[in-house]
Amino acid sequence: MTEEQKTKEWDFSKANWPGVLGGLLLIILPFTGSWWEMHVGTGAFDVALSPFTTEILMFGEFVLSPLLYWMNIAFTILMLLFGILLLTGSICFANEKYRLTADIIIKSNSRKPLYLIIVFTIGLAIVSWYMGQMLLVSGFTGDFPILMGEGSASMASGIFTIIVPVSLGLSTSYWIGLVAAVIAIIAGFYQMKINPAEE
Amino acid sequence: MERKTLGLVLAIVPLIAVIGALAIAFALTGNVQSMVLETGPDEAISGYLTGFTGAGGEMFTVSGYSLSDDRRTLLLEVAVSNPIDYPLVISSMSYISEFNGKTVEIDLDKPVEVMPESTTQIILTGDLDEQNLLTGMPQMPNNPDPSGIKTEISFAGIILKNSGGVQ
Repeated sequence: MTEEQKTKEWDFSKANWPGVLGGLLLIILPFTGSWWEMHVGTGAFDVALSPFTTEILMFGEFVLSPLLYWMNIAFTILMLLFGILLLTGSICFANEKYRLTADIIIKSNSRKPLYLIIVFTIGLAIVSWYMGQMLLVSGFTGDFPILMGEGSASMASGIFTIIVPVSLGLSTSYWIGLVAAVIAIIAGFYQMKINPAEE
Repeated sequence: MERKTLGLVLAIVPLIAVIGALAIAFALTGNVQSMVLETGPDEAISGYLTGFTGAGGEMFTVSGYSLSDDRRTLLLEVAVSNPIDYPLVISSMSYISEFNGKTVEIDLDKPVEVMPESTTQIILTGDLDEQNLLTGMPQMPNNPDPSGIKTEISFAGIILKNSGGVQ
């Protein structure tokens, strides 16, 4: 077999299959819905968030957060890019002609989805803690959960005692995202195993 | 593309995307507060609570007692005003009167919705036994004190409780 023939040949047994699976999951991830939900009362303040979507309802009316809106667009584009690059790199590694570029792409993109999930989770913890602090500052007492759980804040005001129930929770989409990110990490390790020379 | 250049590009793209999103959001709103959220939930909830605090006991106006046609049920009409522009649900309401050594509790049968910034008449009912009917009824005050009302009200899942007291 000549050198030219070798570069035109695809040997799919050498493709990075965890990378193919991870890439596909990353591509569908932005369309799986919200990752985290917060409900204050039932309809007083509802938040459904993911890095790719934001829905805020305050007393039944939609509230726009320009920062989150543009961040969602940026993260959607980035996640699609990570997914497409991981998928392409993992398939292209089956052809010796593209092997070097594919190796760089896989190793470069395999960890980023997990970083995004870690940053998002830390961000959520900070947001839920901050919400609790805002209620405390407003004169409420009680337990405000961080990240997930249920609690309530109460305050005496005039002739009433006011009780504000709060519930926070991670949705299935969050766990799908985590699984996709772990598969991407596995693809990175697999890449190091099948192509250690390029490490 | 050289290996280093490609790696650098792939590392920089996420940074550019995030910084770009921040810059666009800031450019469109002009300040950090509006960029994040125009009105915080604490402000919105406080606005409604101020409405309740302002109304205080005036939310309830209690009429005198009356008897049902079969003279076995004590009726108490209460006018409930909704001071806010969001519907209220009165989940429970009761009024406890003690007379002639006997306690009569008058309750709301089922939850009632009070539309925004309006007043709804509701009727509390309590069963009377023979002794209460004969000896207690004449002693019932004509104008019951609204502060005796014990109630649980909710709006958008936020609960307001008022313990009231025995009259």
